[in-house]
Amino acid sequence: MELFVLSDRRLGSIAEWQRAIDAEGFPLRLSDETPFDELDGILPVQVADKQADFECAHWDARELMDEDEYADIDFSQPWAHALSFRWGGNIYSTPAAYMAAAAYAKATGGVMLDCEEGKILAVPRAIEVARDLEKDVPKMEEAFRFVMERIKAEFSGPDRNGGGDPSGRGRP
Amino acid sequence: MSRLPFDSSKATRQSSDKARHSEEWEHLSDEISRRRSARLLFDANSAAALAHKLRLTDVATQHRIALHRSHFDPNQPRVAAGHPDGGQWTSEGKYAGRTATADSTNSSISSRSDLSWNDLITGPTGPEVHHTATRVDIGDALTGISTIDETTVALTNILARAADTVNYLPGLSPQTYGTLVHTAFAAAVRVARLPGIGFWDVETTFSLEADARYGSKDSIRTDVVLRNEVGEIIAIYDVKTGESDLSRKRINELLAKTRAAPSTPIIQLHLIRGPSRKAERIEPNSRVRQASAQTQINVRRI
Repeated sequence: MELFVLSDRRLGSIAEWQRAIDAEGFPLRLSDETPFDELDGILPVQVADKQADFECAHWDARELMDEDEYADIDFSQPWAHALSFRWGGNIYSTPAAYMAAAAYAKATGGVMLDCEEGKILAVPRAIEVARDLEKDVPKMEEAFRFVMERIKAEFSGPDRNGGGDPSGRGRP
Repeated sequence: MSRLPFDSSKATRQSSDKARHSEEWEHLSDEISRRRSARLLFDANSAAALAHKLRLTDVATQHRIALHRSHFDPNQPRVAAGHPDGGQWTSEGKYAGRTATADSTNSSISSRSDLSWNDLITGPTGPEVHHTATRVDIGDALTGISTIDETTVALTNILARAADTVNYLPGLSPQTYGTLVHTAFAAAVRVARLPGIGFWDVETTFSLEADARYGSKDSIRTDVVLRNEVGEIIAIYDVKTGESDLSRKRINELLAKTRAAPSTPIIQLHLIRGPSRKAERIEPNSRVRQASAQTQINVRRI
């Protein structure tokens, strides 16, 4: 899964980004081990008391908007910067990525390209989606348990997925 | 700001990985020697016998591929007669007739926001007939290399079944749907134990840095990688659930950061979620709700 934030300015540091997240009241903590300007890989985060992560990298916004895959997207203006977010089968990574991206978009006056919906989300909608996902975490956990139960029954193998770890990682 | 209190086992995941890889490598080394000896003996056999065996293998593979391309599975269940889609193929019939909470006053499952999903699915008081129909278009994704193509077909089938499981949950947003499909797919691939895909080849973290830590710069995570007998990556699989396909930049990133050969096929399994349709009809003894969702998987080799 992926999304991007397009903006005309960048934040200066992880600390500044964290302040933007805190200002929205999102229960999200970013790791500050990698300087913001050097982000180009997996960024560990904490959502409430759950650990998660997502890939985060700086992209050339012009290159992104020129990609064939986004030819149908109305970007409304030629943005200067892009920050990419990617993640997979961790139910806490989804709210984490949306909260981080929505706060970043708001702080930079940018927009979110939501690749799941295939459209640009203005800041108010991006914040709304992030809040909905935050609120839905208990339902996601319940859905995760349901899905894992069905998967285990259908594929009838021993539990090799870490005993139902919602982060989807299993043991290290 | 101080370092976050991340789980130390997770923080040292890379070093655990290295130790595990080292053990696996020793085992692999023995296995390589054994296979080389076997290969020499095999090559000493008649060339004609070898050619014949390869032809038979190819015929079997082509047969399986043709069956898959035709979307025909003689064992695939059909939607029961009496259902609005009766007679159509369905990718699962397993959950048909499972019980769900009865709702004698409300015809829309997704409108019952006061109920949890578990209530809706496993409640004891009324039946729900549910079916899904995931269509597969494997397009030009096949490489002609049987090891990869058979894995592509197997992973596509696993994704279809994972999607069927998630489709059973009502009222999911695109973001939640995508998350659960990825989660279900990853778990199913792990337990399926496909040849060339170990437990750690699902959602694997790669890094260009030699002593990379979890969360380090230049790291990337793949959905699934397929390896050959000496552990080299021979295909990379990426599941998409949204509206967009893999971008060229991402493709280059996947190849570079996994250190896969530039010619390594990247195969995108793009699950397109169809509109969910719900209907309600009355049976003599109960109100039966029917929920159906049609999804399609487009498989594309990049």
